[in-house]
Amino acid sequence: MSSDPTVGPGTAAHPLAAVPPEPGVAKPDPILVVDGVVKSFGGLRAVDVAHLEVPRGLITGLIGPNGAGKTTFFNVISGFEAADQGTWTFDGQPLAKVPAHRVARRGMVRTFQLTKALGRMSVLENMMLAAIGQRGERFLTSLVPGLWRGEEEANRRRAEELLARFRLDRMREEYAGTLSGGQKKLLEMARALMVQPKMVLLDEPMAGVNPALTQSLLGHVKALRDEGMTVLFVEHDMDVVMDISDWVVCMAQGRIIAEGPPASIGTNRAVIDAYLGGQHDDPPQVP
Amino acid sequence: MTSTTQRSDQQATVGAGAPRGRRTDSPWGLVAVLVALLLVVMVAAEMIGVRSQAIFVEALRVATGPSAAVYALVAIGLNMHFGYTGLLNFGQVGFMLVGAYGIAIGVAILGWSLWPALLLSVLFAVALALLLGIPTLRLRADYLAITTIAAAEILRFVFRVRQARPVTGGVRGLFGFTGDFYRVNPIPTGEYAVALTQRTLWVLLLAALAAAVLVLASRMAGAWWARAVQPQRAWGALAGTLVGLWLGAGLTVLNPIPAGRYRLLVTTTHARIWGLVVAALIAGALAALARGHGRRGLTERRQSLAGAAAVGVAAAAVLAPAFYAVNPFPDDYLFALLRFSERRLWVVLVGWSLVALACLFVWALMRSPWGRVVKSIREDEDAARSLGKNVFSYKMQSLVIGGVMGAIGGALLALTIQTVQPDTFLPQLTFFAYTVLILGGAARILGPVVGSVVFWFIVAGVDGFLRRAAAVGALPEQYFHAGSIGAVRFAFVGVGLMLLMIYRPQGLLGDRREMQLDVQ
Amino acid sequence: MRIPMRVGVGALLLLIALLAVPAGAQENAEGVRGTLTNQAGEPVEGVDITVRDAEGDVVDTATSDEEGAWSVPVPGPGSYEATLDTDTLPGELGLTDPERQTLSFTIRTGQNRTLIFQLGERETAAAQMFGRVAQSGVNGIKFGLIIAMTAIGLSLIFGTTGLINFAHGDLVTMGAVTAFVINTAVPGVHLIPATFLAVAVCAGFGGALEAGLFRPLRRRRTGLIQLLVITVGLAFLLRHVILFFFGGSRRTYLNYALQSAVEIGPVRLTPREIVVMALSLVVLIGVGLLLTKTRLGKAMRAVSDNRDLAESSGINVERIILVVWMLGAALAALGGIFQGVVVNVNYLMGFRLLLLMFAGVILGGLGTAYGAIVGSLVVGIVTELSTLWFPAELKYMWALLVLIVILLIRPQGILGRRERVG
Repeated sequence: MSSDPTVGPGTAAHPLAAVPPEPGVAKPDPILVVDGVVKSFGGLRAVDVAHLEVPRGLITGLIGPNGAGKTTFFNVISGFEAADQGTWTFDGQPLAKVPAHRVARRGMVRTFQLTKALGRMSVLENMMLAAIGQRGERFLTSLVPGLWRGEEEANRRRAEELLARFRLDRMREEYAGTLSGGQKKLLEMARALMVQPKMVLLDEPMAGVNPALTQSLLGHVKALRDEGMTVLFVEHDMDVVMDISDWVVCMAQGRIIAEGPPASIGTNRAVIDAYLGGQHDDPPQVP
Repeated sequence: MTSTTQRSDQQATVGAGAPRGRRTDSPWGLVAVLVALLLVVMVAAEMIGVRSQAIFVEALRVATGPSAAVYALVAIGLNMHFGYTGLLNFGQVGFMLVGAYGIAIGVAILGWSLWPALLLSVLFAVALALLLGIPTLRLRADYLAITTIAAAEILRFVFRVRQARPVTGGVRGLFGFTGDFYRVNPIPTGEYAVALTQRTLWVLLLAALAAAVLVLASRMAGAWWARAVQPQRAWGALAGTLVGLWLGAGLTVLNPIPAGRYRLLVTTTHARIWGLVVAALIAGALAALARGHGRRGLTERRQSLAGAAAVGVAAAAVLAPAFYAVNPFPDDYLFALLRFSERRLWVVLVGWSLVALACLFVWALMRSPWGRVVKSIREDEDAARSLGKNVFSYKMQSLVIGGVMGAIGGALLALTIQTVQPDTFLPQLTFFAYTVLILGGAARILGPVVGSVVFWFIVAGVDGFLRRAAAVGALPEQYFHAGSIGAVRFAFVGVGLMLLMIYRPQGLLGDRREMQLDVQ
Repeated sequence: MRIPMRVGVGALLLLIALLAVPAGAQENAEGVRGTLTNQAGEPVEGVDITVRDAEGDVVDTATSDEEGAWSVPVPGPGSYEATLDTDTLPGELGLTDPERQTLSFTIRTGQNRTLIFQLGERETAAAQMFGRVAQSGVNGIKFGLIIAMTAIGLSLIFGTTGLINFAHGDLVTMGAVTAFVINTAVPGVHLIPATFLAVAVCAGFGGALEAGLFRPLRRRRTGLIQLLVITVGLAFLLRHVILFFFGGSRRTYLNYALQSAVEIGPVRLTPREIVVMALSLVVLIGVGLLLTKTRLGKAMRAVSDNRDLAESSGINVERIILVVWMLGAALAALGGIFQGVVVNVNYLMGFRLLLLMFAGVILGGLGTAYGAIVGSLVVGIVTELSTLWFPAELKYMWALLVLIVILLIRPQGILGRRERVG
């Protein structure tokens, strides 16, 4: 269910228009439903999400002060860390205890805060690596080139298309480690797309990127949504969040303290408290 | 998108990344060090009255012999583990052990013939890899190192213990299992040698001179004489000439023309006619390639090379007799580089054939998508996982493959020394294999092979020098006797390993930019 | 009448022997014999001793006569073993050391060897077992204390620099060998001052390694794996330089070499073993106090815990690392000397200990000094106790198995922090 790009969040025609801005609120057609997920580190609850639904085909922003548990939350739902408790389903299928590589194969791909562009492989190799369902990746078939040359060619063409779209095609033979920070982010995004995911988790995609490149990246993210992909991204830059999100979720101390369309989040008491630490006139609201 | 974003997209900090495929990392420094070492040893030998030629020949013998093949195989396995996958396996000697015992137990205890016993070696290796890998592959690199070295030692203890005697022969080990292997030796009894005849020496000398000139010309590309030489094409011509000379000498066996002298324009022998015919065929083929025919068109550069080669072959065929007539080396001059009995030749051929097969296998693997996944795991496991790759499975596959190669190396060792004893398989063998791998260049197909040959050449050379020097009395007898010379060898390897890791961890063939030795 | 009979029989036997032996060979005199007495010196009669050859076939069985004497001729030079049949012992007697029921020995040409089976009061099976367990336990503690002393350095070096030092075992050997050289040099120095000197030399060497090798490499940002392999090369180098100069045989120090054991309840220890154990304990306690009570110790722990934090709170990390290396090398050397006193000195002693150190340190928790101590004691005890039920050749294997098992179940060890091990 792709959203109409001309209809922004907060307008009446937006698919989430009827959803009240409460933490843990149910949404029409959620692709990811999280229930009671808890992750502790030595007595400290890093993640304690009672309920969260992420709407399909839209861009959801995940904000919160440092240490709120956003990256840990990503790690848990994408299988990179084990949850202490809780369940979550992706496209109706339960994902708890599924290892990270299977999660990726099921269509949920994540990027990392510190880009993991494989520096000692070329840009093109990075892309080709990401293609799914490669027969040539199996040990026995890899020994017979005839069995995988065909799909390799097809993957290469798709990779080059994506690289062209992200304007990295000139760098296709360069070692990925020689790219600039922004280019690496683009590469990670392009590479994530090679997996043909249903949902993309972007962990601080704009971090360390110069402002000029930020606009370009934003455009790419919006284009993802327009193609029907669901995007959940963590970001600190409020302008970015306000600009492209269809929905915003705010975490603090591991819990979800607020949800709603971008406009409402900026004035949300709980959110302000979380960021400023509750040092202002009004008493802090219990989320 | 606005024009500003377009421009910023294209903004690139062009880093140190050179276009792929061209190595910026020259190994000649290390080569120079090694050559200098060789020269020092040879000069020192001459100075104390020891024949350096004997040391050289002995070192060459070891470097091309079964030991080098064994270590090449073991290092190829280690290359799969450490070079390509980033697994710090310090227990490779354990795989050697089970491989050696596999073949020995198969033949000596179970009474099988050679091939099924070899299969047993492979099975043992697979089992060991699985047993070892399932619990430990999740561990960090340095923990994996400790675990694997512990596992290999446990294996050695178990094979050594008195209770295991019926199966493994205990401390004494097993012997008498190599009969079959030497029986199927097709090489007729006799002495064989690889020798340089006076012709070969003459050719090599001139080729070396020509190569030196060409290298110089390449370096000084601007000078007038360099441009006249046209180094690009000249290499092709040189290659063609050498091929032509070699063919002229070698293919006489296939000559269908009946012996005798014939008269065609000039009186000439059947051998010459045959030589000309062959040369014409090859030159013709090369010329055709140069003109662009053939299944796949060659690049322009290669076409010009092919053309130059054709000229070289033709020139060689025509000028060969004149060329050999001015040979300054005396007619009966023969320099024997290597000597073999038919037994040793058989082992050497089998060993290096196995090495070639293993290299081919690894080459095919690593250029496939499978190899790509493995390389990505070496670099960053989490990135590979996030792209849907089952990291554990690939690590396990790599462990199995590398382990099997180590086991085959062990089996070859068993066939060479004709016994298996647990105390042969000490942890230091693993570290020898690592030295070989790092010297040659990790994550390079031929790294282990080059490393093994060079390693054994150096070790045997130093060994030989020390032994002869001690025999001649140049070194104090109380310190330099048979046992302690072995210690010098090991100490030397230790120093070598340290220096390599400090100054040139990529070895001879490796590339510094691709070095993946850090642990996070 | 008897004398001529004996002569006759003797002549006959001689004839048979001469005929049986190939012409030109000497008379076959190889054999083994002994005399069995109880603790009061009285002969014990009627006890069977069975001699077997290297393949395990029985050569012959002899029974001790009224003088307690027995003898078994053997067919020729070689390896044999003699087993005393404890069932044939009179009721109140048993072997003082039940382990020594079967004795292995070799016979050279023409040698007639004497074996001693020590007999004493027979203990009940339970008392025997208790005695053996206690002895093994104490041996284990003794071994474990030595491992603990050497392992602390390994653990601290890992804690402060992240490097697993594969050359640590050879620092142990170096300590033992240095003390040996000083002890046996002419004029010889008594072991005690030799120990102090050797420890000082090794501490200096450890410091030199850190300052001259590892610090510049760290500055160059050399990867940990690279450093690890460098320590492997260093280990090789040290071990074989030692082998070159020291030789491959086992040697002992000039002092305290021959001592008789003292019995403390069911346990027998030589005085040097007791002293070594006591001193090890003192040193370990001293190190423990150093780490907890002194500023230096606290700084060491801080650097181990979180290097950057320690640096930003004003601790001179490089200096601490230097101290850690020197202390670690000193402790390793001391451990080596103790091991040399208790067992012997040989060029492989440290490398053998290295794997056990790994086991102890990982069991206890890599990076913590207390962990090293606890883990090493466990390793020592496990190793020695295993000999009660399993062949002695396998005793190191159990420690290594413990190592692997711990890495699977609880990789951070008993006392370690829960950090990423995989």
